Amino acid sequence: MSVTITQDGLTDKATPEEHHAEDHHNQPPKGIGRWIFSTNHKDIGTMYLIFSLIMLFLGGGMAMLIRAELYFPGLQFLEPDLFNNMVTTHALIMVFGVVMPAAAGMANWMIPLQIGAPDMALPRLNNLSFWLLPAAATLLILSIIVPFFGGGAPVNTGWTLYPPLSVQAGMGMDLLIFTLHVLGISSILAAINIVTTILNMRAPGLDFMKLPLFVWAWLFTAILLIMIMPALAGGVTMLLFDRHFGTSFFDAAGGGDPVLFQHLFWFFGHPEVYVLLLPSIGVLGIIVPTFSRKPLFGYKPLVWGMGILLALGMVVWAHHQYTIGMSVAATNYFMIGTILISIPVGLMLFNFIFTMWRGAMTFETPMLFAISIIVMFSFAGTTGVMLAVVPADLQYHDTYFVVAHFHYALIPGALFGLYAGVFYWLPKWTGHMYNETLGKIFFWWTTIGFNLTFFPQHFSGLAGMPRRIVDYSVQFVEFNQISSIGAFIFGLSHLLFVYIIIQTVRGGEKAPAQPWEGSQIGTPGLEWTLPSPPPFHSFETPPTVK
Amino acid sequence: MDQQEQSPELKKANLRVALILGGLAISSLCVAAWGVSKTLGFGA
Repeated sequence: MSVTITQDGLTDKATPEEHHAEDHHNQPPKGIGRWIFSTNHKDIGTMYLIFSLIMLFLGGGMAMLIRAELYFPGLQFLEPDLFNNMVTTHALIMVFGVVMPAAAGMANWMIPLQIGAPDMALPRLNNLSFWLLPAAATLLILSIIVPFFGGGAPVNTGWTLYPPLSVQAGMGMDLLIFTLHVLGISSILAAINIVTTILNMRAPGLDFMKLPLFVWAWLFTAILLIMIMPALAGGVTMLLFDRHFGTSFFDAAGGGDPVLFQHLFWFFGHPEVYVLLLPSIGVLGIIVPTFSRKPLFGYKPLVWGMGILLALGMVVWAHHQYTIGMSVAATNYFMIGTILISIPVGLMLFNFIFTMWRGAMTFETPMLFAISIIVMFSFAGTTGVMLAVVPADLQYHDTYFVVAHFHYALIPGALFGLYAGVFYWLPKWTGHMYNETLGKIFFWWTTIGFNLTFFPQHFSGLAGMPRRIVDYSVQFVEFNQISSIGAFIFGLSHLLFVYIIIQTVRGGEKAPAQPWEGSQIGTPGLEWTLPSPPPFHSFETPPTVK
Repeated sequence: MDQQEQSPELKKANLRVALILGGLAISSLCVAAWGVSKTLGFGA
């Protein structure tokens, strides 16, 4: 595909006076109002990313507390209920406060730029979608603090919030339910905005089959979000009613069933992992061709693969519930569906590998992350197929084997994908190149730390160590100590990440409009036709794509 | 990024951030070491 820009992408004004007036208009507003009342997709994207980084430290800090407590058997410094509260909120923060906002921030920044749109379709809705997040984060933090001030027992259920335990929790649980309501609204509104933008605001000539893969990935992600968030909202609202309004949706004594909540939760929860995964797959679909200097091995199969993943991912939720007493027919169905999902995932991963085959590869930081994702996410796929097999899962369920599996899926699959995207697009966002040496040090530091943390957990899980326990049997000590040391190594690496970002934002080697040599190969986004950083208002006149 | 391209003010500002983050890293390691020694009964 070649891109012909028929306007300069900045302005179609002719006279110097009109250019001068345009310059004033193209300056961002001054003061705090710029951020609170922003309708600019770049500013809102920046706010999402900064929010996500702050939450990364909050959720990561909780992970450090968990791993510090688990360094030795016995109780160290955390009360059992507080430990379980840390486990619960660590997961909620990472899923809803880090990965989803960071991916949304990247979507906000990049989708309008990649499709040649001046902004998102619904800019004021965009503002609301972001500002709901700090409100939700406040409610979440309150839910942790409130038990210390007489608010009853902390939320100790794990992020799955299963009744009847969640019905017995203190006021923190209600605050958590409201947090999820607000987060759900934010996600649904953002998803509506993204679908509308992609369907309606592409530059003339930019057909669907010329879209960068990141845009396709977010189109599917947004559709998925709209379908699944209401299930979570319904489930937690029913929980709220059971807690306070005398209903018994999940109370067997009143004619209800706790398993109903599980189904409602996991009908949301399983597709949610594809919401977390797909944007990173989209980022990979841009980074791998760029640094291999070779178009994607199969663009259409990748798009189809994402679509099939979405469809299959909606109908396999109960593989999280094999031990509840379902019929053999039901468990068989979910097992077969879950195993089938490995086909589109494998299709995507092999696609990336064959893209690299005989390519002219260089190994800048984004590419290092991309390759490590392909390798480590494959570990998650392997353990995932093991977990899918029902009789085997009866042994693995609720052990650290599951913890190892999903951390290998989520950290390489979601978090490292976001890091790769950040390093790839930082030059465009800031106008400066990041320090490549520091980037590579960060990559190796974080990868080694991550693997040291979670690889031993496969073994402690297979040896029988249960999940969500503050104290464990002495035969698991060595695995836990290695894991805790790895966790501290992994956690500390993020201080370097913050330093790299601050250093890049403040200044450095000027980034050209196209900092990456291979970025024009295949289906490039239109962001590379703009200067680095792009002006406050870009593509006020839509470019034409041939 | 070429270090020589950075202005002195920028270098100073970046050094300040690096020292703060490095201090955070070292102090968290010290807290961890203290916790371990306390559990193992080494005193302190």
